[in-house]
Amino acid sequence: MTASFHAARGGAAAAQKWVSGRVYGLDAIVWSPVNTLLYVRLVAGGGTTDPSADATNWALFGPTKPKAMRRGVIVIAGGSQALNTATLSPAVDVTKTRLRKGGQHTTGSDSLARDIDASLVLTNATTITATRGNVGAGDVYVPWELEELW
Amino acid sequence: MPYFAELNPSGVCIAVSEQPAIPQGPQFVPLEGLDLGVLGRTFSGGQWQPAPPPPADPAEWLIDVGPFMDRFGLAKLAVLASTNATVRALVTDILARRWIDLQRADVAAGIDLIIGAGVPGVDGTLKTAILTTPVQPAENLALRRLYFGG
Repeated sequence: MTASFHAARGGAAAAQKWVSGRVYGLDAIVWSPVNTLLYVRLVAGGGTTDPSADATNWALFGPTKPKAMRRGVIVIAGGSQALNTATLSPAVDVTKTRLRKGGQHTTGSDSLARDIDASLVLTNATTITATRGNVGAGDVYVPWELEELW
Repeated sequence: MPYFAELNPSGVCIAVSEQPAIPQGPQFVPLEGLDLGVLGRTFSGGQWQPAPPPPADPAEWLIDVGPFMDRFGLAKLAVLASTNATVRALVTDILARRWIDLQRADVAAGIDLIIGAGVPGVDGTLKTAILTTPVQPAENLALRRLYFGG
């Protein structure tokens, strides 16, 4: 990918590929060899950490894009169980994450478990919590998808 | 990306997921794929145990009063309009209830009394159908919502 491509895409003039160890001035714009996105330098100086992983010195310049996708299913057992969780590994950056619920289904003909949607929440960087919509005897299966952004 | 199951403290699988890394700990069990079949099952001795039987639905054979009367079908109006003192007493008793438990012996005995009173269309076949047809979700929605945690 060329510098001119990045300049045209991001509106930044002459963005160059970031080079480890090179010293950059304030407001310098580079593109990351890790994800090809543009970053702007926040503090003059050099470093060996790619801009995509160095939020102290670099900020994303322009639109982001998906980094990774995770998926899974949480089951909330019928009876008295109200919620269950799934552990995220490794931890996510909650400010750069989109969590989606992929519908739900229940066992048996339990109208209570079926009729009211379960909720799905990104509780913290390592936990997703699914909570059933209502008391019921049926198991509630809650599929989820988590999209991480750069 | 690897797949894994997550166990609760009792060893029961509460979630499965596809993520960049499997967390450390005995509560995380690697899987070959996103196997929903292990949800709700116990992992012990290095093996998945059979799924536990679903919990009994406390409202399985309870039916709302209206849908109970609807089960008399074309004979419903004949029951409600009966001038027989026993039938009238039974109808009054039924309408005063919050729900009808189809497995109670006195419900069966009450239908026998209606049959004995000669109400047209009510016979042993109808009695069997009324008492043994599984209660559908729409037939006890009110009692579930009002009295079973809804």
